[in-house]
Amino acid sequence: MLSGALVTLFAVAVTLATLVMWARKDTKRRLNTNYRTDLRMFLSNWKKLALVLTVVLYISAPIGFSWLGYKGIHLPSKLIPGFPLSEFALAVFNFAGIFAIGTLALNLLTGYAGQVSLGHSTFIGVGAYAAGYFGSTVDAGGLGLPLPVWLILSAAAGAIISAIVGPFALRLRGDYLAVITVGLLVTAEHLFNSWTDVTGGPVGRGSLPAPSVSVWPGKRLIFSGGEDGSADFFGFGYTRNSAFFWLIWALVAFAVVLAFNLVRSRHGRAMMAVRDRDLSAEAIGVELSETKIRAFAVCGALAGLSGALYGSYLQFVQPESFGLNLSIQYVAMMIVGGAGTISGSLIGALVIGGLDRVIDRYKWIFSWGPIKHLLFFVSTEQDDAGMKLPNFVRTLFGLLIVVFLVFFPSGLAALWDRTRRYFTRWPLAR
Amino acid sequence: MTNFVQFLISGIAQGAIYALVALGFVIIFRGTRVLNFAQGVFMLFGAFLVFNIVRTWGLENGLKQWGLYFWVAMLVAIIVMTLAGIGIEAAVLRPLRNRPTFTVIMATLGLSIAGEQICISIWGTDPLPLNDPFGITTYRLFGVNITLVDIVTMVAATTIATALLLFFNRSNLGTAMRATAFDAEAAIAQGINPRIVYGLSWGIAAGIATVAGVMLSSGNGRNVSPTLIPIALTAIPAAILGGLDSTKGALVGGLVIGMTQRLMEGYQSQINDWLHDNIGFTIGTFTYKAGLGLNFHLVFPYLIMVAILLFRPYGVFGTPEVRRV
Repeated sequence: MLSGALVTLFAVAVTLATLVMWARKDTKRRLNTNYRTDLRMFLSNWKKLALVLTVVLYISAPIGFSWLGYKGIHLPSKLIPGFPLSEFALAVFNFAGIFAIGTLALNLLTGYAGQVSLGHSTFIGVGAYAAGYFGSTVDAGGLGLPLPVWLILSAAAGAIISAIVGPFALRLRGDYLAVITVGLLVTAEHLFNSWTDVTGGPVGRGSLPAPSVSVWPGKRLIFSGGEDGSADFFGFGYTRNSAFFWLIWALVAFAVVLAFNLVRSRHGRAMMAVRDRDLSAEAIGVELSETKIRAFAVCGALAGLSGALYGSYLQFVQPESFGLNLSIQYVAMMIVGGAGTISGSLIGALVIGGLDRVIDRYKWIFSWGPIKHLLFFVSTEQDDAGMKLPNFVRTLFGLLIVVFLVFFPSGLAALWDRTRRYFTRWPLAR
Repeated sequence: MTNFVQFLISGIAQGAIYALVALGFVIIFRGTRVLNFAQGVFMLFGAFLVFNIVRTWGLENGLKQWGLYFWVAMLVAIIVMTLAGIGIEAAVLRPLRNRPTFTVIMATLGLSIAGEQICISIWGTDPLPLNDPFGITTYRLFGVNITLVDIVTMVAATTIATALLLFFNRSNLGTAMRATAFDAEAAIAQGINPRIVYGLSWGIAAGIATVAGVMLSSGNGRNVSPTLIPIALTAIPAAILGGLDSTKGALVGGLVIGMTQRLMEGYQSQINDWLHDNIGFTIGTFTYKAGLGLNFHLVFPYLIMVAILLFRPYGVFGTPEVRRV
């Protein structure tokens, strides 16, 4: 037993040391002198190393680390404290992942292409209802299509709707664009309420795609499950939350790579030119309308994907969920993370996306001395006077938006960037 | 026909309120180039303040006769909200000067959310009666019913709009505000302090919002509750319709939106039935019948706004923005 552990530790240490030696090899090369290095996906081998570790963490999060063992080498399942993640933590990460895809979509449209949109929750809603219609079983009034198909169809629905909306934005800028997106949002909410065949009307639509995430009906490939969605994966038990964790974060990775490549491409640069000064962009030959509509379509597709996951994870959607409030929450995530950065979307979603659930779970903190005195007006019990927790969280959202806009306009991502640059280029950067 | 006139009259009263709220949007936009999404919260806070003041002093004291307490409460609330508007401009909007439009819009939205939640935490979500002196008093003119509160609203809107027009066109401060709106740098060169202008724009808008909030929540069967905020949002189409930088536009836009909305509310069931009977098609087992859906009148103003913006991107009376590379 002891020797097994020693061998394991030794193997891990050697692997890590080798990886670190390899990663250190090109950290000196910071200045880009040609296009090839400028367009590299991974700026250093450190990032490749981080990617490997991320993948390991991604697989292990729901089931622990024991799958890494090989022929007699047993890794303890709880190599890192907190792993495998609890059901609650998985749920928080799942919501954060869903929000991350949606925030990324909004960031491409607003942060990169500069098109102000307060109608983001419409695209999310379209995705959710499309998933409900295409994915849920025939008995529940859907078409019963398999998972990959309804995911793609939801993304397509989002893209189509937002490509229809896009032309409205062609002649408008700034405030007027913001207002017309609010108008479209209200109209869409009305349609969600009225088109009862697909949306279930004001009471909402239950039984979205089956609780188990089966890749193909009848063929239980990887994600399958019983009544509560629990199942096993090569001998490692996992639950519905775990299945969704793998699915959602794989799609987050897909969305990040897509966004990253889009931003580095010709179209991405056109989007940024339109954002910075649309007249100048037009003058140097960027097709304004094409770029704007393309940005809207990409945003809609990713938002549709996010909405499909949202609907199928919650298994219930109603028009009320897709009002102005959800749009504002997405905007809050984008601003707190950092508009115009891809990492910012992830950071924002991780910080804000699960905030309400985490606060609700750890509400004992409000009865803890110092915080109790500081936030004396917050009450955790439903019947007490004072500010209820959900109201407090919403107030926090609003104030966070204002505080970040005033004090940290480029968000947490830039804060991290600045800190890192301070250390890596010490005498040169502030 | 009587129905039509009835809808039209109550539509004008509703439109007067929209015009008041839209005036708030327009004054802030003209002065500071900011579209203030927190206008609804100003309305809500103002109305709740009146509720509180009325409850604490009004009912026991001698001010009760002639409903005087109500007007005193409203005056106090207007003054408080004006100061609050000036304070918010100084605290939040001044650091955001010269930032991109989007940033400023988001800041006002953030204020709006936080303010709404604070209101809910203090006063709750239940509708609260304002104890206004109007009650259910209704007059009958030429076979049409007009409530007292509608008349007061129309008078208030007209008075405020006239006062503002006089203020902008005749007084020194008003001229300074117009000058700053037209060209801030040139105005500074003439010795105008833009900070006073910006602060004052927000103050006046918050004061007007208070009047609108109180008018909207007094009278027969109307109460104060957070549902005022969506109504403030409906005033945005009114402001946009007339053009965000036109005072005249706000009045016309408000009236147009109010009347069309009320007419749509009155006739939507008939229109819906007609559409349902006459428009539709059947493919196999799938049948489609056209219709308006529930509460179409709440969406109608936004549709008007979208249609107007498609053809006149700066509203009917708004000045198009001239841009240079």
